[in-house]
Amino acid sequence: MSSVELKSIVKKYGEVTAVASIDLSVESGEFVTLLGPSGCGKTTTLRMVAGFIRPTSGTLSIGDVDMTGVPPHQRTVGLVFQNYALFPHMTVRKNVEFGLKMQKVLTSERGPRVQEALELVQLEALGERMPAELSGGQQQRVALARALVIRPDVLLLDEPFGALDKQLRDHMRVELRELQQKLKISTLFVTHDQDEALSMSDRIVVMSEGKVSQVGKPTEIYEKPQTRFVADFIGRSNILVGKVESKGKTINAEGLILPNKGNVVAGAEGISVMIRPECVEITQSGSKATSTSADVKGKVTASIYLGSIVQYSVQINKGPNLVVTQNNTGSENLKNLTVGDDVDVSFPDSAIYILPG
Amino acid sequence: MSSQEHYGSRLPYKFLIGVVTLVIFFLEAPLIILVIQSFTAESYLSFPPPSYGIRWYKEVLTSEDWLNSISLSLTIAAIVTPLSLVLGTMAAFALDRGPKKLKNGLQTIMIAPMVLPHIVLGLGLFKMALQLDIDDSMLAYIPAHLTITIPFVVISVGASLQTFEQSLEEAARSLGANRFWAVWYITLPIIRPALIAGGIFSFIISFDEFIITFFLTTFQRTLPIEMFSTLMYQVKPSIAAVSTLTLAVTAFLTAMLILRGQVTSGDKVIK
Ligand SMILES: Nc1ncnc2c1ncn2[C@@H]1O[C@H](COP(=O)(O)OP(=O)(O)OP(=O)(O)O)[C@@H](O)[C@H]1O
Ligand SMILES: [Mg+2]
Repeated sequence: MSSVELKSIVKKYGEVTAVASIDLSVESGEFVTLLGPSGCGKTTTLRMVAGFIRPTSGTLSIGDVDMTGVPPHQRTVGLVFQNYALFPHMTVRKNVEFGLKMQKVLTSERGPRVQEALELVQLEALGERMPAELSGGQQQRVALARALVIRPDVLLLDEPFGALDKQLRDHMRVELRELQQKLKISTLFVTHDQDEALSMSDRIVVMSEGKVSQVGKPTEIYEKPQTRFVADFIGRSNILVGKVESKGKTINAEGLILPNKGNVVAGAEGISVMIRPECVEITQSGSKATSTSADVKGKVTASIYLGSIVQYSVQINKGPNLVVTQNNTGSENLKNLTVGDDVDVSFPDSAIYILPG
Repeated sequence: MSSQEHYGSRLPYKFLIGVVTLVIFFLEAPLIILVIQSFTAESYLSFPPPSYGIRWYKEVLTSEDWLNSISLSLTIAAIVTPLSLVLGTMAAFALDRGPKKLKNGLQTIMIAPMVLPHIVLGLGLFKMALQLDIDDSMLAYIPAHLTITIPFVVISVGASLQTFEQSLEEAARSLGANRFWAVWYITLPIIRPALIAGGIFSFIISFDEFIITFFLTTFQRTLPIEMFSTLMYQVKPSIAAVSTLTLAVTAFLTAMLILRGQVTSGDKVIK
């Protein structure tokens, strides 16, 4: 059973197309993330699921029931906003109780359910506080409890951690994912933060300019991007343009000769080859006897220290410029690399990924 | 203390205090004199009164003419205030939520009665009341008063809606409240200070209204009209007593408004 299903959903504002035909489904208990750059239509899509925006065309069903024209209050969706949108004039308890009151749940039943929801987010001690008396993280949790208490068919979150600092964001990420798995609640999560998407989701829907670029598990999205856009957007990547040479045995990617492991037909041109920077190894030339598959040499042209990793730009001899990242393990070899150094470059065959199409 | 020192010379500061004191004195002095005079025990107005008493208050509160007019004014204000609040709030919502293109034009039209000369407004309303044969009745006073009280509600509620976070209403709607209940349970309580201000303004304006009502009355007399016609042929201390009573009501409501303003500017939420 799908919790949410969007079929050919389009939203136009006059001339502006915010969402250009989207197909999307969230299966029961699944955590799906809409990921994409600013303005790609994530919020619009989410608000159509919530019922605040009516699609220009297409159909939308929640729990296998057609909901395309149904107003928000008649859909059972739990919505969490980036700014929390807690009711400032009500205590935490009243905030959480509000949905039950609107759904005409008996007063006697409300108390225990509110309590249960507050316990879920570990806020049972703060029920009598006003929202203004809570920290950002606590407010976020109240918003979550308020959305969950109505036992929604689907939980919708629009960049819910956008207003939190990095540490709290990382913490809430884990907490939300645990809660979601515990409750087995279908969730549609919107973010433009790829770390968030990769770490929390069962599936990621990468959007670009109102369209779906790729749908897949986090590993598929990261390791096997289907389009140039996804490869560029997710993580750092080297994308080289190449052509098949030597009767189909090798690919010449901007001067870098790679084995044709994808078995692209001989003579093919303009193929995109992706090599993730973290898969590339560089060592000072002659520092140790390396026997690499690709015997490649280059020169460091830039080095950026990022704490846990160091990012280098390496100009391959008679080849392209590669971005290379190395884990900062404190090794002397790494520390000694500076701009202008000659390096041996190596990467396993498995690091070479040929984009389809 | 330190802020004075910042400005170097103390002279401009003292000068300012002097001016403010003078202004306050000229504004308030007539009122203070009036209030003191109202407590005279004599049968004529004088300042300071030779002897004090509440004779004129007794007279006012037992005179049928005065009581009738007070009661008429209170009744009108009591009907006008809730109507003005409901209609003004609905108009403010329409302006806030409706098409942005129409907003400026409609707002100007709605606010116009506030700045239009009341004498012109009164004349127009008088003509209309005659036509409809409703002059000298509640049916005329109430709509007439509403034309000048509603703009105040539109302005105060409108200003407050402008800063209102609409995602709160959306949150309520996603939790199962339809548009009406979302506004009822969330928006209205949050903009309550503006509603109270609009209500108090409406009451005071209706209670004080003279010019427009004057056009519409023949035999009936609201309090301001009764005061005016009493003054036309005699100046008795009863006028001072009535004025003081009116002043007290207005001052009380205004004080409530100011106190409310302080209470609701965040303190209430934080406690
Ligand atoms: N009410 C509207 N009228 C006209 N255009 C709109 C409206 N709402 C959104 N758009 C346009 O639709 C596109 C998608 O907007 P949307 O808010 O869904 O983006 P988003 O992916 O959520 O971006 P962000 O990450 O910045 O929040 C944008 O180009 C936006 O300008
Ligand atoms: Mg958005």
